[in-house]
Amino acid sequence: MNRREFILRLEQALRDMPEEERRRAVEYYENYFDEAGPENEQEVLHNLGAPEKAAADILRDYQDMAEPSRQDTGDRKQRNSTKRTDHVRRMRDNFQTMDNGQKLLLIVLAIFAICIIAPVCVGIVGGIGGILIGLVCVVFAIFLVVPVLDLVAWVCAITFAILAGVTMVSNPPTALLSLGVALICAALGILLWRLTVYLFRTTFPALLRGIVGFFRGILHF
Amino acid sequence: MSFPISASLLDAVVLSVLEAEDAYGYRITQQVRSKLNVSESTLYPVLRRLEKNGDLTVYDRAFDGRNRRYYAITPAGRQQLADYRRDWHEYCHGIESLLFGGEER
Repeated sequence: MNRREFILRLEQALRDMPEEERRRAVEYYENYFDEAGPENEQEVLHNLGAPEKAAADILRDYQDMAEPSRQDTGDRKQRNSTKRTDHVRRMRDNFQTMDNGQKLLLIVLAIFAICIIAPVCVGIVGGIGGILIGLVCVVFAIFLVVPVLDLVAWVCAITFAILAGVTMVSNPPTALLSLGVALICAALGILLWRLTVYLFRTTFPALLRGIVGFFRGILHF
Repeated sequence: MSFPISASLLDAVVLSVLEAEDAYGYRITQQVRSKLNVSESTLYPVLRRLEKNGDLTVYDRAFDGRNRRYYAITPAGRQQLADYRRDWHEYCHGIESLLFGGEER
């Protein structure tokens, strides 16, 4: 067997592993042969033994990492407890290995971050809140203004109609003009009424559904 | 040797080799094999496991027109090594007093 054959057989034996794992293992042994040098190739091959054996070691360890239940009891106990506290431990370690200057810098940076980020957050939340309140007001205003305009249109129509009736005999041209204005106002009134009905019958429920859906979405997150 | 070398012990040995200085796979293997009778294929899974646990990191250096992959111990690895050393002392004391306790008394 030579080096090439060893690598090929190793690759073949590791074919069920993820690509990355197989590549790393092959790289390791390529590296290993490089370091040993061609003059030691036969000796290394002899010491390494069968590539299938090396592959089996790699596979076993890989599977143990994937499912810790396969490890022997002592190891498992320790590894599980290590894994749980790993994250905290690492952060604590990182902090502890810093010298005092680095620690001070970290603390100062943290305070700066809080000083800058907190107002920015307040600003962003405030801005979004303001825009939302503004939108609500605009919607509310539309719902308020349309019916009021409708009412005004009808009042005008009735007023001009009465004026037309009063001036019918004494001043027929004024009466005709008043009647025309009254009819225009009535037309506007009808139009605005339709709009009001549309707003309250169709848009309002849709809007409510939208708002309810929005808050439900937020709560579900 | 009559006593098998456990996975944890191999972890500890590799970590202490790397505590002194960063090294590549072949060198680590030679160093360990100068004191312990392990097969040359034993250490790759150990190195890979330690790397995945965050006890080691790897980096590549160009050497002699090719790539050399170095392993370096992390702060977490140092902590782990300290734990292993403490455990090893306890273990050793226990075994020694059991095996040779009679002579001490």
